[in-house]
Amino acid sequence: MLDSIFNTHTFVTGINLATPILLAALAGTFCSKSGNFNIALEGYMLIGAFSGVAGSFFLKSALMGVFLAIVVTVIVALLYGLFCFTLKADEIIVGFGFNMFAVALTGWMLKPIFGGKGSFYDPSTPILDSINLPIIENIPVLGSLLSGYNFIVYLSWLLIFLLFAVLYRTPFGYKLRALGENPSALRAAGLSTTKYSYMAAVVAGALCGMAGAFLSIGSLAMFTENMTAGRGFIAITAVVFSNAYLPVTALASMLFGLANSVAIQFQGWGFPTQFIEMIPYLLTLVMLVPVALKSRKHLRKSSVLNL
Amino acid sequence: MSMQKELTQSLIRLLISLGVALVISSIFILSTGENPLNAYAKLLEGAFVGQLNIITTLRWSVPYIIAGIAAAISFRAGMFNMGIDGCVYLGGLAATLVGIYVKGLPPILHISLAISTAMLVGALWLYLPAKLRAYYNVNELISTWMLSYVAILLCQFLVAHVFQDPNDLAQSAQQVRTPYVQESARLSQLFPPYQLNTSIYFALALALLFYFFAKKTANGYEHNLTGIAPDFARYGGVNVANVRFYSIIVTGAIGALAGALEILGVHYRYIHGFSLDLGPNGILVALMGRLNPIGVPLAGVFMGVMQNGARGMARTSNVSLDTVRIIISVVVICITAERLYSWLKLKRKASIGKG
Repeated sequence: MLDSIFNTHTFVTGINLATPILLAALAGTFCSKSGNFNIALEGYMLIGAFSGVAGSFFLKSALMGVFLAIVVTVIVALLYGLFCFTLKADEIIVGFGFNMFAVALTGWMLKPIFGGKGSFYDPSTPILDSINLPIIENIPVLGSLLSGYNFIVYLSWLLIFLLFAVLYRTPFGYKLRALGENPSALRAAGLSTTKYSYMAAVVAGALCGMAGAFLSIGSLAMFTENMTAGRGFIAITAVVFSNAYLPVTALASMLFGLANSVAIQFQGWGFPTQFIEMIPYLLTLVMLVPVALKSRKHLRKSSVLNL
Repeated sequence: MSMQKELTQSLIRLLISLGVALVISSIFILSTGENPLNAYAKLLEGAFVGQLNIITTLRWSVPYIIAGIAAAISFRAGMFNMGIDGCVYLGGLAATLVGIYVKGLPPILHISLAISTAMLVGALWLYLPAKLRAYYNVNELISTWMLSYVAILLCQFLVAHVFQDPNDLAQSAQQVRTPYVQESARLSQLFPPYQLNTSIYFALALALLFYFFAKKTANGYEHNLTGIAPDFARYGGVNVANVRFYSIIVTGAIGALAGALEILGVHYRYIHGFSLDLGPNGILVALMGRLNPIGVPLAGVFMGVMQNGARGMARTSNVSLDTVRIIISVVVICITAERLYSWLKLKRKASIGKG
């Protein structure tokens, strides 16, 4: 009976569930390290998903879809920056507004762009090719576990190391972390805090754009209204859980995906769909438990509502 | 700052934000080849012209005012409670169940019982996140938001598998819904056959209570102080943790009230999806009203006008309902942008100086 749960299929599903969350969590780590508690990741992903499927549909290339998703989401992230960093609006309220805006905008654009309402599905739209890794694909078990994903999955794994190196081994990363921990030190050094905030925003936008494109053209070319369904918040939870320490953030996102995938297999045992759909949210709540145990430690800058 | 000055400032900010939002939405409307001015005229017509439209606008204002106050209670204490939608559903379901299965009570008792059960359920649902936030510093934004998803799915499950209307099962109807509540649990309509019902009195009473609490009581002052300057409040002897705890719980109860009144006053049965994003919209209302006890109810009416007007607009022109969601989210994005206003103020001062 356990065979039906712990098999390669479960693992592959887990990786596919983890990837968008991993990318968004990396984005969240970057924002968090630069002192920005960004809850707009959810909205970024939704806009990325929409532009991804639109790009793939009109330009007849999934890669162009990913490219368009990144470009559009970076623009949205810059707009977020305009309000948060330049116009000094409250970051949580702006983030909430951006999430609502993303839902409204993508819902609105479905009609003029695809002529439908609520959702878009077109089997002729190209999706991302799966890549078989040479050599590894021929290794008995490992091959089926590690090979055959699309390039975003592999890129997300590389990005864990790359972004870690950027954050902890480059002057840019050093300044970014300084911005989060002690912005006045950065200012005293004659550097513009706004500039580094915007840079982190651009990185976050690009990552979330990719995450969104993975959702909409990763395995099926489709878009449904509000299809991100809280994934951005799950990613934020991974960031909070790991206290924005990137290796732990990445591990948490991966484990989340795998645990979710294991839980989904229970559907075969006759659990009602609503409970299966609840699983990611319940897992997210479980992720908060260690945070509660650590307690008394300030995990986020207490943002004061300056309304 | 004096009350009047505060209100004028709020209004000015709202108007500026609305201006920005209208410009942006006009671009969207223009891009589909429609005339934005015509669309806005249709929106106003849909909200205000004719008995039906005015009464329906009021009908929609009621849940937005209540959900807005629910959100404002948490936000004023600095708690980003995103769990209102889940409480709306749970409250709606709890009220429905009391309405169906408790029999033989006179209307006043039956309605009171249904509403208080709903509020209790809503408060209990947010007990855990409230406790964790207030005493263990666990991010309330995430926990309440996730619990909201869980609540909505739980309601869907309970109704689909346990309380589904037996007639629907016989006819294999697709919608997830319960049977109707008894007559004694229904709020009466004020102008039959229009949907506006006595729940408007609850909204008015709640608005008055909120105003009284926020402006006239010591607790209300401590509540607001906790949101603005928690350290200062703590230093001044306010039990900040308790204030946070109760704010989140009370938001849950009021959110559930909004759901219960929608069911008892309009639908008379639980229909899955009845909330129409009342939770997130309540947060938008609270933010547009700048958490102010006068501003929030007014913002609720504004939301009612926009939503009902948008339905009219979508009926009579080719402009989609989502346009209003775009307008309102842009208003909320702009409304805390301090620099936007100081920049405009500087501009004005400069031009006055020149004159």
